[in-house]
Amino acid sequence: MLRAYGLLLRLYPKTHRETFGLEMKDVFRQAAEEERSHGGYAYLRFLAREAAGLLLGSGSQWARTLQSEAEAEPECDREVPPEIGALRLHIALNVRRMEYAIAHHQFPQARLYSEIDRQHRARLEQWWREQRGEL
Amino acid sequence: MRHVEQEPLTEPVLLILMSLAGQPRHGYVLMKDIEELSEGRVRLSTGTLYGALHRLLRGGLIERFEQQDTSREKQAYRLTRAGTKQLRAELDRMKQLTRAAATRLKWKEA
Repeated sequence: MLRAYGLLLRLYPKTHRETFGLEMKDVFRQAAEEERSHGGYAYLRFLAREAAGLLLGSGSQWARTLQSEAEAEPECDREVPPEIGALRLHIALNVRRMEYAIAHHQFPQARLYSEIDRQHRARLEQWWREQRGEL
Repeated sequence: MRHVEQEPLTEPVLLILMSLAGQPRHGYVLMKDIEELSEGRVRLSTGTLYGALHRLLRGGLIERFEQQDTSREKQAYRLTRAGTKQLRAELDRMKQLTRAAATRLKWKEA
């Protein structure tokens, strides 16, 4: 299971993985040992929570990474059209909603926000590629 | 370094700051303490925990340090002065809200 967890960690941006990857694996290992001692059902719930946390956490982390990259390009920022500015704001707000949903174990809503996040980021990525003349 | 929150803190972030206000902690101990602080209501996954820790580190509200006799996987976290200030501000905000809510309830009952 630790190996599968390690594979899922690859969903995170490299910087996050390098900073926290070992720690996250260690914490997961300890938590998994404890949950396993509480029985099969508790262990399955734990695994589902962890999988959802990793999927949504990596999505949020990518959103922040893209946002930081966008903020680090002031020359282009002057040319950002209003709809792209609004899109960035939506991404930031959606990440907060996603975090809230995860924290309250509202996984269907969290998945919905995750899907919205994916669509927003795809649109932002497309815009950046257009700006760079890649499309 | 950016200071994170002028707006209300999310529950996981508030609980992390509360937990670290007592003493520095490692990831797993932090996770268990948060569960205890919230009386079992909040059980963070590692993804949520480390996402929040990352934001708090970037905001300068907590810091990471190595303790003697621990491996690289067991870095500890502690509250910074800015983190303590932020936690106090959040508690003041909650107290104010509690007072306001109690007053409104009294009006309603009167």
